[in-house]
Amino acid sequence: MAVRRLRLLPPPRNPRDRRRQRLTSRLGWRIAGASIRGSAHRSGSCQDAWYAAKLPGQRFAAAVADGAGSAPHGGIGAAIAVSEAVSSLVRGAKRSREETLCLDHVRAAVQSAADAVTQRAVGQGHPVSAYATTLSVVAGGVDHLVWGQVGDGAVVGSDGPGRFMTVAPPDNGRWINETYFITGGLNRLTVGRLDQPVSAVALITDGLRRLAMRSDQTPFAPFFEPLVAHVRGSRDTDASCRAVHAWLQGPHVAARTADDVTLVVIGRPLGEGTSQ
Amino acid sequence: MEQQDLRDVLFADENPEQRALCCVLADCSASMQGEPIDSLNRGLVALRESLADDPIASTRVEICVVAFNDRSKVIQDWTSVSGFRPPRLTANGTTHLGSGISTALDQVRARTAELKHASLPMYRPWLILLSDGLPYGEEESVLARAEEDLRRAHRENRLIPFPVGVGEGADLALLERISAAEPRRLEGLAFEEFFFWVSASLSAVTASHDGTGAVEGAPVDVWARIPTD
Repeated sequence: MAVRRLRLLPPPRNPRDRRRQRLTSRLGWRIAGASIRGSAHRSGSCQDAWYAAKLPGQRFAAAVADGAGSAPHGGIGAAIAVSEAVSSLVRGAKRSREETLCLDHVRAAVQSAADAVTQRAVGQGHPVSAYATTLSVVAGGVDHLVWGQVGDGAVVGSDGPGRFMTVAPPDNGRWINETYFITGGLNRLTVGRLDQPVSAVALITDGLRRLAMRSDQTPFAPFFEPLVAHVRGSRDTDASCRAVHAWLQGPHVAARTADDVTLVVIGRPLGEGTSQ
Repeated sequence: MEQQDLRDVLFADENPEQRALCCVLADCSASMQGEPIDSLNRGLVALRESLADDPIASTRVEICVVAFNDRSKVIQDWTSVSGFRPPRLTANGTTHLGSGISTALDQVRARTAELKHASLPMYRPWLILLSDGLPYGEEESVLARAEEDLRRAHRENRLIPFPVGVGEGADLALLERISAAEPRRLEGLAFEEFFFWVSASLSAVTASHDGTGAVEGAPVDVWARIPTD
């Protein structure tokens, strides 16, 4: 499945919470994303996946994953990993009374993603490595981010127009075409926390790295800025997902990479300060 | 259907593709006022649109626009096709052709050096010289030096000049002398047709793999008349 719809939280029972969520959907984060099969994989299926959700209290969670091309079920591993990681963050956010998310939420999300993939492999009688996938997850709100990553995805953050920073740099092995997978144990898991105002976040898989990041792993702002501006300017999640999908499928990206590509962009409409 | 605002996305500058530089040197002296300059502006829009439609050319072509009248000015520094914002040029003043050529040559030289430093393979840069008349108001030595530089750059295969005379008044013999290339006369004010031709030719060049640097452009008869005089 190329386009994964956002899963928004079901309406809360408590009327006060419901009012708060309406406010959140009007003022809060806007999210768009897409995974596209690259021309090198035209005969097979897309082995990238993404998933995202808005959390109560002006918070969000998102994940991208890149199933190993050499693994027969890498795409399934990626799809399981992103949905399980985000679901875990949703559960964690609901349980915690705190306004901020912490590194334990992220570790739990990656662990439960790895467990879910392992469970699928065992259930199917396949080796776990057949479902090998990278995983990048991020969650946060207006003043903090927490992230966790295994492999060569990347998370980029912005604290204002034109200002982008690498939140989670891609983790390659020694060679450019090798990386690490959640199915190979979590000893390569890196986690981090950023306590500062955040106005936009983007996640990419390896297929977009050369297009979006400089060789020193810093984000190329002219790549991200128009995408962030588009997403934060669009009230219609489905429409902006379709636009990102169409753009990723377009000639400019196709001319530059034959790999599967995934992009998730999360942004707040301009003019919303951290006080809101 | 691609979203208009997403066409502005630029890519990290590690594009391993070959680059094709195209510098447009435009005469913006007073004699270009009115329809000629409007037509030139429409032509630059046509150039962008047409190149953007070609997935290969749009990754390989870089554009730069230099305008000259009493002085010369880099209106658009080197940019990819997606970053190219066609300018709205205005016309006034005299025709300092030599100064314009020198600025354009500096632009080509600087970008060529950068790309060479980055080890990016390049097609031979194009210098499109659009002028509607005679050099005027400039010291002769300035033009003589520019002419010398341009002829040498052409002789040493550092660029390919495309001199184009705009309108009946253009001195094609002079354009030929300063560039050592065969000038063409733009028929009427067919700038849009001309820039479609530039785009089609750049597309043909950037799609070619023969490495000879030979320019096999599209047919020119839609916009030009080869001088017979």
